[in-house]
Amino acid sequence: MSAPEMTAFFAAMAPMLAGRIDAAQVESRLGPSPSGTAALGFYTELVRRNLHKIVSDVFPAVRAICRTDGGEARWVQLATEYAVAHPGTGADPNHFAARFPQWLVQQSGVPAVWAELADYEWTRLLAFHAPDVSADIDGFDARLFIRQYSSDIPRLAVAALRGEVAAAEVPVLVAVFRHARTARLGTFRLGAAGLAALARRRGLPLPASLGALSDDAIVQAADALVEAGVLVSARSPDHRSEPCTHD
Amino acid sequence: MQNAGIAGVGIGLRREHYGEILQCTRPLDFLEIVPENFVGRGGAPLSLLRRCAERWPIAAHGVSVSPGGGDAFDGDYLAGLGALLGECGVERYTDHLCYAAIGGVAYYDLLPLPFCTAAARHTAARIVELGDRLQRPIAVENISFYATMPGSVQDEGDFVREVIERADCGLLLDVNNVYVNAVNHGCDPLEMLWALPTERAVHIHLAGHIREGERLLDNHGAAVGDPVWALYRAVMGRHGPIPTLVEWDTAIPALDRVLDEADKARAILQACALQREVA
Repeated sequence: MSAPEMTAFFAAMAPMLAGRIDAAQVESRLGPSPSGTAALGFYTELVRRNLHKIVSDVFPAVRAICRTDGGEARWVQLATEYAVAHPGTGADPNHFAARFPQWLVQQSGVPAVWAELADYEWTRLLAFHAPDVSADIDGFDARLFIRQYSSDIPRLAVAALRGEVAAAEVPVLVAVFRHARTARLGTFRLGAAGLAALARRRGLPLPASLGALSDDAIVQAADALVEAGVLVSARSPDHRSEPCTHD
Repeated sequence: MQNAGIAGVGIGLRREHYGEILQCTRPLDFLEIVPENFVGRGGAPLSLLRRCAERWPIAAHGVSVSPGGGDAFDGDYLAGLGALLGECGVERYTDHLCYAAIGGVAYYDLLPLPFCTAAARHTAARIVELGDRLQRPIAVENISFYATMPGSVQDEGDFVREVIERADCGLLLDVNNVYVNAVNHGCDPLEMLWALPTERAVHIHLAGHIREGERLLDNHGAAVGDPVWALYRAVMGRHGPIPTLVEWDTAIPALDRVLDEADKARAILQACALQREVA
């Protein structure tokens, strides 16, 4: 095998590893595997298992609720279809799973709450792994994310992982965050004052619906967010406000 | 050749043990990380790694760089990797003698190359490039392979030797992989072991495997098997003590259980050292 043939080797193996051709077709291009066609084809299965494991590991609550609803076969079907549609890229295996929440939204027959649950789990992963920033920066959209869900997704996630079913039809507004000081992962339920405090911290104008809130209420909510580790202390002499990059 | 700064017996730093590793009081000579779990990330895992690095030497064993692949190396990733290795005082970077991606598509698996001189030349050149870019010596691991690739004209041992000699790099000798490969390909484990350039081994990996049908799977999900311990003793007997890592990456048990396995390796390693002193 010469150098150009290495190119041919990779070109023949890629579609087999993706499951688009079988091992016999690879052998027709490259010659026989000394181990036999079945052994060569086992690599398609190994890759499928790896990709499936990544999705299962990143979205354990979605997997749990899916298995409760439609059994393991339903989950395997979803994970496999996702893997076929989204080849992995990059060094970080987790990023193979990045588009799973949005992909779930587009799947017919998949309850909307599953996609929200997937978004919640992915957001927690993002917050957990976000690169460290200066201790005087809040880290919006890095270690701190604001999410509105049509159901009580945090409660649903806990229940799903316990194998339980939770009544969770109440919409929630939450901050998903890595604690500003301890690095623990957390979820903070936001009320109107908390939302106003976050908006103020980002330098955003308050919508009319929050205009009736008193300044004291917003300051108290901000203090609570700092106490919970959602925000860093604005009273720090080093505190810097962050530019708002997107809503 | 020895992995500078690394000696004795270590274990992998795994998420399942993050909560208890710093409280560990049992013998533990080094920790090995999968750098992909830390490069470009922050938070609690990186903070923990920094604290671990203050206490133990750190080894780094990559899974995604694809030393035998056809794609150009990811410069951003290598820059982050180099910074991490520097911060943790890692003196040698280890990876696998395999490819892991084609045309930008990552498979998150360790895929075997055809055993031939073209693949050896190709891979050796990339290992040299990797060492230059990371400014560190490199060692590559003999992987488990479930099929010999089309185009192969050598056996595994000759191929691994050709790569390592052309690249002038170290061998990370995975003894479990030797056993798994021997069984799956109907070979004698000792013959497969000694066909590898074991004299270039700078680091040893031990792990468990499972049986799936007629095939052994290198899943790092069980205790080290007796035949693997026998191969390990054979390597120690021929080459003397070599830094050894116990890998447990699937169905990971409590830290104490992994350390029990490390203790077994340490006893063998120390007995070997003693025998060589006596001799």
